[in-house]
Amino acid sequence: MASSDEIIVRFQNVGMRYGEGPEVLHDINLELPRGSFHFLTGPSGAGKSSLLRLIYLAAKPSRGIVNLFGRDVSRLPRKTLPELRRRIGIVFQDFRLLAHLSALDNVALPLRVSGRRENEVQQNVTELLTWVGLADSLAARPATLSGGEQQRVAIARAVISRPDILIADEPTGNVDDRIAMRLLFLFEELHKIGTTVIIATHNEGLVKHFGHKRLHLEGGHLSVRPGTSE
Amino acid sequence: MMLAQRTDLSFDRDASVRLIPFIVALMVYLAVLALAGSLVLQRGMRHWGEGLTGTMTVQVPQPDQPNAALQSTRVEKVIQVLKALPDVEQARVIPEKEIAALLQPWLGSGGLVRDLPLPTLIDVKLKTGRLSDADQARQLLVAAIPGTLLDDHDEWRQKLGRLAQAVAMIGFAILGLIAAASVLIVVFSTRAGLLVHKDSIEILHMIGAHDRYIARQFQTRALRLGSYGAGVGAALSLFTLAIIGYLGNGIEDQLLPRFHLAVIDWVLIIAMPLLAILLTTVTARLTVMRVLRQMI
Repeated sequence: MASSDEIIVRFQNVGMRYGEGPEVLHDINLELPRGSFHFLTGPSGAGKSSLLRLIYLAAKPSRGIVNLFGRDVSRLPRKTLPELRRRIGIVFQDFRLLAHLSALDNVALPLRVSGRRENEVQQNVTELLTWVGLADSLAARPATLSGGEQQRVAIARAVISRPDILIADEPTGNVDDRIAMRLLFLFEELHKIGTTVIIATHNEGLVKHFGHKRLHLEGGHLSVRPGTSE
Repeated sequence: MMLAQRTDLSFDRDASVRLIPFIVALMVYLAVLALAGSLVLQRGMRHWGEGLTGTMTVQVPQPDQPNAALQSTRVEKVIQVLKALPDVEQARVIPEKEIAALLQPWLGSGGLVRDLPLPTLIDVKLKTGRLSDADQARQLLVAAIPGTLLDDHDEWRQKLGRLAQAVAMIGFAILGLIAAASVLIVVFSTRAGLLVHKDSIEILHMIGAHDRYIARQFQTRALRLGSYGAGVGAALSLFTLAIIGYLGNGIEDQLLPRFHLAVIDWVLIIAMPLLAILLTTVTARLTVMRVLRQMI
């Protein structure tokens, strides 16, 4: 068991429901050490997105304690949440790029909201987009990019501010196996430099190939399973 | 420059705010005209009141049997009484021609004025603003010539004062209503804009944007639209005032207040569009901050 200061995400008896609806997560107990890599698996409707929403502070638990970076988030004043969110990078399943902004401006958003200088923003974003192979598409709007290119923009936006936690919700859902594999190697690289990675996926092949621990959700209940690398 | 600031939200596709410049223009137009009207009326009434201050009018009735010589003696007697009063500086009989001119709109220019037993009017100029003891003066005048009336204009001044206050209050009430209507319109359009941009706002929140970062974008847009509307409204209202001033100055009628505004009045008028811009911007910001506080 990792010591307390190494745990970056901790759930204690967490339950979650939307409004007055039924509970979608039940008694979740979870500890993610800093620098770990986990896959989150489970059938559709098992609560994977809800669990991720709790981690990236888009939702609050109905009961239990969610502890992020050593802080009980339910006790934190609302105005402190942006500072925590800046430490989390998210790749949404549908990318959620801002349609009227260029690829460069989309990726620049996390830096701009945190008040970084514009020359620094331009330089970092251009370098990163070049690294993901989009040097020629800096000014392109998302609608003019292919699905794979949009995904790379979304990933670049998630990692531009070097987050402590990277969350990806079904990042391989819309791409072929070859691209999916390349994507996972990118996440592996981030993991190697200390980023805690959580990837929700249905792709059993990838889970087995990379052999990281698996968090499995079934009917709102969580179980932790060891990884089985091929 | 703040007006040219880049925005992360796509305000171009936000139809809810397209009316804001028109509404602000209309509100500024109405506010400027209401304020200018109120100021002109107040200034006119003050002018009338000042005209009545320091003067009074004495009416010496004609004797029962009209007799010019006798009336002249009676008038002379009244003037002596008046001059003996410590507050009186000058007492002057208003010539019959002046009275005829004053009555001309009602009685015409025929000989009717001469035929009527009109009282002789004495215009009295006071050393101070008003008589120290009007009742005593009245008693002395009536004792000299029974039926003599003294009008020290006090009642008029009081009525004018009350009217000026009422005009000022009505002016402020109209400005208040215009401001309240503007605030409501900006609140509703901003709330509609927040709904339109709900998804983008959620993304901005998720990547770590503070509420004030998002509010600043709405506030900048409100500033830009409000400035445009206020500029148009101010230009139109000043054009209207210029026309009213041109037409008003052509009227030689003492019954109407002269269209005249002092420098301080113009400062207040120029402040109207600036206040409208400020009101629009601050309202947009506060509305956004209030709504965002309810989000996670």
